[in-house]
Amino acid sequence: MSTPVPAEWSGYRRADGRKGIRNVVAVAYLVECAHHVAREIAAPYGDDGVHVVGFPGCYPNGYAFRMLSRLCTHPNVGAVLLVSLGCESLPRTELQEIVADSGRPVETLVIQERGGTRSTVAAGRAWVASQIAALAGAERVAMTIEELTIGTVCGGSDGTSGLTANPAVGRAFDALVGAGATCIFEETLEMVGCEEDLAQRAATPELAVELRESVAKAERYSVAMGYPSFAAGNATGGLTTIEEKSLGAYSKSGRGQVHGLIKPGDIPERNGLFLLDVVPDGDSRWGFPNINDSVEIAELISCGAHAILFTTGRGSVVGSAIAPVIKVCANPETYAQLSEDMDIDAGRILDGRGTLDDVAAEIRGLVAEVAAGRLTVSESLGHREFVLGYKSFEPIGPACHPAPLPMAAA
Amino acid sequence: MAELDESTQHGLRGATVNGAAPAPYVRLGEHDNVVVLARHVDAGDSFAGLSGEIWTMAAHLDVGNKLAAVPIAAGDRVFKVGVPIGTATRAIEPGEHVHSHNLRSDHIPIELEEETR
Repeated sequence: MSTPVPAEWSGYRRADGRKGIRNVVAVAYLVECAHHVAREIAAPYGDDGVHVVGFPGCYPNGYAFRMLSRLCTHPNVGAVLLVSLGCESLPRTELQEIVADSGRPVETLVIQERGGTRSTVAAGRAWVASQIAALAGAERVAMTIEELTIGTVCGGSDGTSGLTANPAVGRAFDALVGAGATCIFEETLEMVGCEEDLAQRAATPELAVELRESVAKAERYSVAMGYPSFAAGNATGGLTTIEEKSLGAYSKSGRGQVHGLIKPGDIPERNGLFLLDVVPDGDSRWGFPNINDSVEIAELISCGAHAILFTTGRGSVVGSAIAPVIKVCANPETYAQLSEDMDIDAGRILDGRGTLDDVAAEIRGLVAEVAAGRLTVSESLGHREFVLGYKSFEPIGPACHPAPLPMAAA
Repeated sequence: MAELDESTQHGLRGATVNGAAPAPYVRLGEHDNVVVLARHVDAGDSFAGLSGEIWTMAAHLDVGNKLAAVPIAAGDRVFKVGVPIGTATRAIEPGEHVHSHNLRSDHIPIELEEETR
């Protein structure tokens, strides 16, 4: 890589020792019935780093609780307001304790105990305003690439995704992991046909078995649903089969050794490259594993990703709550149509205006700039999509855990 | 797993055959039996095929779509970037569009709804 990349920038230190690249106030609704109130509380503070997350379900779900726990204690989050209707089953007191134990300011407002919508919105805005003021004075500390976690996902793939943006992200991942960062890829639903190559990259033989099984599980789940991870737009964009789409999607992971397998909410225990398995365990009873790209983005963030590299061929415009999304556009014709929503023009590889290495270097450089505070395009446009649904997972087994680092961690 | 290398990237600029206009496609793997469009083509567009024969497009195709590089027989595996991406369901002529009407998955069959317009 010839482009110089800053080795150090200022981040936000949290009480648990992790560091963030943003200082967000999270407003979390604990059931859909509290969503409007949460949205109204956050509405006046759109430019002040106040993001809405939440869970719509009224019935208990361990996965959703763990996701919200991780997101509310994410290193990019500085303070948390929980908004409860009052009769939903998500255990709000337990969630408040988890956030408080992480050293963050936290408040819970129960609409049924506060006199209703208007009173809760007023109380919530007053609390959020006080937290914005407090966070403005937060101490900045030096943060390095070894303390950075980056996730990747693709959405709106077409025949160009596997030629330009995805392999360019793969090379950026190789460079980032080489520099000491933690990188997370996922989409086992789009590794059908790539499982043997993936297994050969496992750090241990035991992990190879787990990686192979995670792809087999994804294929079983797809068959049970009646659809693989393949939308009409993929076919219009020239992709014919799931293994063809997989070939392109898989190249986002680069060529490096895979150090471990994690599930949503698992935070990697060391630096390196990790596969995130987002397909539910057990019977295929939760419907589509990912109803859209935003679900996968939230899951990557729950594993500690500070920022997301999102590759798109057809042209997604989404961002995310909590963590910046960098959009890498694979298709030069899409870029011409949607340049106002894209951070990186990877499609220039197709018309000879750059090589994979040029684009990979640009991605890596932009990751460092975004970590240092530069807003991504979706951030500057106010995109803060967030989706969380029902799933269930078994805890990862011993073979999924990474081998310890060869030398003591920094 | 095959991956794009530097020589492939040069190919992405479009192959030129006998001084004709640069072809709008690229062959990603040395032994691939399909090529991939590096820009869109319209119905009636003609350009040189891999063996110098003229390919004429029957319909508009977006960038990223595949054309047969050589004659493909029904039952042949189709290779892209050196990797099998499915099996041909009928004979395909060089230059013909390769997609769901003549190629099926060896893993999971796909039945697609029409994309919303």
